[in-house]
Parts: sequence; structure tokens; C-alpha cells
Amino acid sequence: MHDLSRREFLAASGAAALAATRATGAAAPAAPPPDVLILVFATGGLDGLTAVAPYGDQALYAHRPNLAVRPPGQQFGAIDLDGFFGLAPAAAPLLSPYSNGHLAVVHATGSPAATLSHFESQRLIEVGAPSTTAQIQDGWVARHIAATPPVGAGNLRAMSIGHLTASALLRSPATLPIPDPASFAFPGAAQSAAGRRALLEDLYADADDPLRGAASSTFEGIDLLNSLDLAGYVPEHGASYPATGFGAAMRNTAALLKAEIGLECIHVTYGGWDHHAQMGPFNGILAQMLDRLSRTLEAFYVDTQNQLSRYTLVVLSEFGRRVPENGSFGTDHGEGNCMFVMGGSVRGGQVMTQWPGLGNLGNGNLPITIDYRDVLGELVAKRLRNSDVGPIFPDFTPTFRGLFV
Amino acid sequence: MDSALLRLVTHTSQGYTEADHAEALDLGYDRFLERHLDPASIDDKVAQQFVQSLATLEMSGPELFALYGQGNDHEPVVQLRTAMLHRSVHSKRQLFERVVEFWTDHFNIDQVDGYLRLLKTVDDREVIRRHALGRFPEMLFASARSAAMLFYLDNHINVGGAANENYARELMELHTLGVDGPYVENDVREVARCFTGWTIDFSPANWGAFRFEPSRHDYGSKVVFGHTIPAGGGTSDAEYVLDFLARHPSTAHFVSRKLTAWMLGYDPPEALVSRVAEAYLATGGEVRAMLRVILAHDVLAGAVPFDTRKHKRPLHFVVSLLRQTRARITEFGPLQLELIRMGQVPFNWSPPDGYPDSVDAWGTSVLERWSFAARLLGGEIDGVSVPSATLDELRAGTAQGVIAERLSAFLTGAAMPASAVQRIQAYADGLPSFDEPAFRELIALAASSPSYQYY
Repeated sequence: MHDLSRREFLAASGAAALAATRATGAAAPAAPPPDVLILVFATGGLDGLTAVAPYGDQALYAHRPNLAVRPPGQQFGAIDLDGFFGLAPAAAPLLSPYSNGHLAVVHATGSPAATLSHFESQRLIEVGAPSTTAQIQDGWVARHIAATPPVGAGNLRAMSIGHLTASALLRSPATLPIPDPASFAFPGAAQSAAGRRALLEDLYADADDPLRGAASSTFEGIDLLNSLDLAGYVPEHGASYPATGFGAAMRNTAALLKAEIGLECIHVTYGGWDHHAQMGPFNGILAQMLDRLSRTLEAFYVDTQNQLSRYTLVVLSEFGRRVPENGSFGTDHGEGNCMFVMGGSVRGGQVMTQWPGLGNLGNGNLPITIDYRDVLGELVAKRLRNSDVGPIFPDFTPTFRGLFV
Repeated sequence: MDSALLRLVTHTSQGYTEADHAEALDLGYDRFLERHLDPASIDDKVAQQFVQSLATLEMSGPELFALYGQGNDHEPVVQLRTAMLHRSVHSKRQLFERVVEFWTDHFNIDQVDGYLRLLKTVDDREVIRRHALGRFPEMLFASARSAAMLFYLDNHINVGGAANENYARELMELHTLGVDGPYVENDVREVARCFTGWTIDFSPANWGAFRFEPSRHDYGSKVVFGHTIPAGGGTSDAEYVLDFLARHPSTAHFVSRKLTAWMLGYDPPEALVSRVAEAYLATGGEVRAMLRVILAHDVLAGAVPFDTRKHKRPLHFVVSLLRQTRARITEFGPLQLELIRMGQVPFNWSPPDGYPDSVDAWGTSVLERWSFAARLLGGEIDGVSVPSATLDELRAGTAQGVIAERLSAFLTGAAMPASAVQRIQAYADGLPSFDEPAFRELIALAASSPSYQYY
């Protein structure tokens, strides 16, 4: 039988790891803690040419006679960012964090290995694979977490808000998908709960992974989350999140960030960006989704203004959309796209790009001129404070572009 | 005990039951398999009578539109989900329902939007269930012409001159050749051109029927997979494509691997997959012929060694526990809420790849399952109850000192590891009283144990 229950064992080993971290910290000058990484994956292929429109590139209007965001000042005109790019009108709420220097856009970015398949490309990006044939089973965030000591007790280090673990977190230690962090409670009658829980802890102690690890993090998560009253969380500074699934996920993310329970990464999926037909960039479906996305990010920004120095938030998608519109007022799968990066240590207020121009597109797709791993690699090194970036993005040497302090 | 026979029962049903196992023991391996490959030979009164009470299931497109086409489309959605759940739990044709679930994911359609809420009912009946054990090429053609698929992947507004690639890509990537199949981006563009003009008749009299709109078709010549389709075709352009894809060895291989992985284990050996693909090519894509290879006695007896243990998806977990406990279900709405909580509502996966089938995807969610088991056995789910008779039967002739072993047999065909049985037994032995609430908790715990999450 166990002399030490699994829970006690984990608590003890977690404490030991924490003590080890502190000991290292004492020897060197006090190193600041890594940022909490908040990763928003917009699945389906968010149209970066609408979200952050290159209105200064005249070719845009030849490719998209019906769908292009117009130059600033016109009807459905862009909200100018830098004299060349502008936000879609529906993304107006992003102007405030951009103007405050806390939000940057990276444009014509993506994965050179990506294909035009949603599923293959999303997986490639989330596992950080250098090619479609690379056999990589774990996520890039998972590798970072596995390689670094925990910030907190170590039993719940990352979370996907949803039913499924995001691929970026696949096989990550101490990581769980939680659809609703506000109702994560052990079921059944209170008087028998301790005994039932002890039996399940025993049963799962020698289960196969991922079940074993998931159960262990689940018990920890139950204790941590039930001490927080997430359901009663009140956003600060007048922030108001849209009443959508994504809004609720980001509201919970803010609450979890503030609670400082040792979470190092929170992954949120916002799906439904695959607009092949009737895309509606001005008053249709895309406008509505961009509005929700940007109002939610703005609410999060306002709500967490006292925590700005503690997180970096990234919004990315599996690919951008085809530059020329199709005959059903939509766009097909493409290549290069934009990415958003937000936080107190982001060199915001800029659209970082090596713009390839839309005038001479071979296959109709925006070429990728900044590898997404340049952005994430610099983030890992500077904001997650893990200088050993090599294993995170195998067979690739990121170019740090000065996007982060 | 014939372990191949037990594996056949667990892998061709939505959850092992002692009754199914008894039927299999009685018939023997081959007769049990053949019987289930011929579902019409199985009397299925209970499920059929119930489903007949769901009027929308048999409605045509025009009927659905006339009754539910004004935004009041809630009823067909609920009835289709209800039928799916009811059949999963109560149908005697368990292998058939397993295969239907496979094709439902393969030709995934999210029922959430607009007319899809009506059209999926027709697709489920005329494409998926009609061809589930028939010939794959016929199912593929039916799916291509199905209004629900045309709508879901935007093929109904695919216009010549600037074709819409959505369906063309997923047709090759997900339905036939597979993402590693022998096609290139130019094939996607050319196949999309072939399908221009394919659309849906939305006139009240023919609502939801396939229609070809010549004015939207690109009549130029196309080059698909190195073959030139001459100018001036019409629907024949895309029919050539569908026929080409249906006959292609890569399609045979892709579909064979996926079906074998669904039925038997995540990573089937290539030798077995090749044999299944040969059956596909030899029979013109007969699903039954493929299943006979996949489910052959020597395969399940371990002649080709590979890991046949699979993790139950949420629906499978829920249905297996409902079947085993002989739960009385008077309302299906609350069960749908339970499935929402667990992330697997029937016909509600948004992207076109279908619900994932992997332990990596679902294996990290354990609490929702513990919760469902506790709430089901605790009588906390409206309209669903586990009758005391089930508990009485379990306890009849079983001493309390061996109750864990009895539960292992009842829930898993005695597949729980000895250590788990011992721990559950120790828990039972330590209970202050073994009354009905305590016994219900014990069953929920056994269903929450790691080995119950697999089949």
C-alpha cells in the first residue's frame, strides 16, 4: 500500500521543486518571474487582410472589389494604425491598447511549413513542427513547461479552456482542459466525498497517461478553483466582457491571472473563422466576430491593467485567407496572416512586417515573410524566460525582431 | 473464455453488456458477426417504435420546410439528436449504429446553422444510414448531392469564374484521399471548378433537392489529377471527379485505415489495413466486405498483434453506462445537456473533420465523467433513472465481499485489473453501511475508474 498518498507525494515534490527554484533564485539576483502566456487560437483561418487591412497597397482593391476594407475616411473605412495598415471598423476596440503601446500586430506572418489544410496547419503551428513530415507529438508550450521549473506548486501549470486539450499543450505536464473553471467541483454527496475521492486517487495513481496525469491535476484543480469563487468574479475598471463563450473564457482567464495560482499558460480557442462564402467583413458574420474578438480583448486589457507586466497574450490562426475573393463573396484558404501580441512588455503601437506587396502574387496567397516562430521564440526567451529555445522549435533558429522588452 | 469473442462484443457495440455477450456465446463468433452485418435480420422493435414517434425523422425536404422553415427549426434538431441517443442505447443493431457514428463523423455536418437544422435530417437518413453498410462510392455520390453537405461546405454557391474551394478541398482531404493523398493545390482549384453550378433547389415543392444551375457552371476544360476534362461538360465534370476519387487506391487505403482504427484500435498494422483496402478495391467499396476483414476472428484473436484498447469518447461513455445499468429514460433533453457538458453533442462538431477519436483528445477530461456517473446513479438527471431492479440483480447471489469482482464483470466483461478490483472491494468493505445509496455510489465509482474509460 501507499505510505504516502499520491496527493501528499505530489504536494511534497511540488514543494521541493519550489524550494529548489527559490534556492537558485537566492544565489543569483532575484530573477523576475516569467509572464503568464495567454494563447488565443482563432481556428478556421481568421482573415488578417480584413482585421488589419493594408489599405495602402492598391492591389488589395483589385483582388477584393467587394470585400476589401476601404481607406480611412471612407464608408467602411479602416481605422488608421500607421499610414499603411488600418483596423477593420469592427476591430475598432483594439485601437486603445495599440495606441497605448501595449498591442502590436505582426503581418505577413505564419508557418512556412503550413499547408492549406486547417487541421494539418493548426497542428503544425501548435506543435511547432519544422515540416509536415516531422514526427512531433507534443505541443510547443508543453515542451517549454516540461523543460522549466514550475512557477507555483506545480500541479496545475497550464489550462485549455474547453473540452479538449489544445495541441500546443499536448502531453504537457500538469495540464488540463477545463470547459468552465467556475464549476469544477467533485461530484456527489458531501458526507462520502472524502472516501470516494481517496478511492479515485488510488485508482488513478497507476492508470496510463494521459488519464493518470489528468486525474492528479484534476484533484489539484478542484482544490485551487474552488478556493477562488470564479462565478462571483467582478471585472475591474469598468471592463465589460461580451456575453459569448469567448467572452466568458477571457473573463475567467483574467480572474485566474489575478488569482496567481501558478498557472503558466491559459489556452483559449475561438472557432468559426472559415468564411468561404458571404464573409460579411462590414456588417455580416466576419464583422460580428471581429467585433466580439476585439471587444473581448479590449475588456481583458482594461480589466487587467494592473497585471499588464505579468502576461503576454498572443492571438494567432492556422493560416490567412486567399487574397482574391471568390465568387461567393468569401475567401478560400491562404497562407500569410496577421498575429496580435498584447502585454506590458510588448513593443506595441506598431505593425511589424516585411510587407511583400499584393501586386504580384503567384498563387494568390500572401507570402510569409516573418516566421511565426520568430515571434514565439523571442517570447519564450524574453517573456517566458527560457533561454533554451532550440528544443521548443526544433530545427529552427528564430530571429529575434525586438518585439518584446 | 474466447477473448476474441469478448473483444468483438466490446468493439461492435456502444458498451459491453452481459446480454450481448450471452447472445454472442450462444451464436458463436461467425454467426454473431454475420447477424450484425445484416441488421435487417435483427428484430429491433423497441428502437423502431420509439423513432416512429419522432415525426420529423421521416419527413422530406418540402415537408420539413413547410412545417419548420420559418425559423421554428428547433424540433427537427431535437428529434434527430433524440433518435441518435435512443438508437445508441436501445437498438439491437449495435454494430450498425457504431458504423453510422463513424460515417457521421467522416461526412461531418454541424447542424447548428440555418437550413442545416432541417437538412441534416435528410442527410442522416438518405446518405449516412442508407449507405452505412452499403458501398462507399454510393455514399460519396449521395453525400456530394446532399443539400446538407452542399450547404455546409458552401458548394451550393460555387460560381464559375471564381470557384469556391471549400468542398473540393475537404472532399479530397477528409472524405477520400486523405491529407497525405496524391493531390496538389492545383487539383483543389480544378476540382472546385468542376463543381461550379452544383446547388440546392429551394422552391417549396422541391425544397432541399439537388439542382444543377448551368448559368453558374464553368464550362471550360479542366485538368484534374493529370487528366483533361474537355470543355462543354456539365454535371459530368464533377461526376468524373467523384468516380475517380471513389476508385482511387489512396481512397481505399485512407478509408480502410480510418475504419479499422475506429473499429479496432488507434494504430492498426499496415498489413491489416492493406487487406481491408484490397477488399475495398475488389468489391467496389463494399463496407460489409471491409468489416469482414477488420473483424475476422484471427484478427481479434491477436494473429496480427496490435493494441486494440481504445478510449471511450464521451457519448460512448454515457451510452455504455446507460445500457449496462438499464437506465429508464423518459426524457432525452437532459441527456443532451449532459453531453453538452462533456463536449460531444451529436451532429454539433463545427469543423468538417468530425469529432476526434483519440485518447490524446479526450483522455484529459476525467471530472465530467465522474460527475455524470455520480449524477446518473444518484438520480440527479431529470428523466433518467437507474432502477433498483438493476441493483437487486447485481446483488442477487453475490456476497458483499466479492461485489467489486461482480461489478467488473457487469461493467467491463471482467476487464478491470486485479489491483482496481481490490481497491474497490476494500472501499466497499470499509463502508459503514452498504445500503442502496452507498451501492449506487459504488457503481458510479467503478464507472469512474480508469479501466472503465476504455473498451
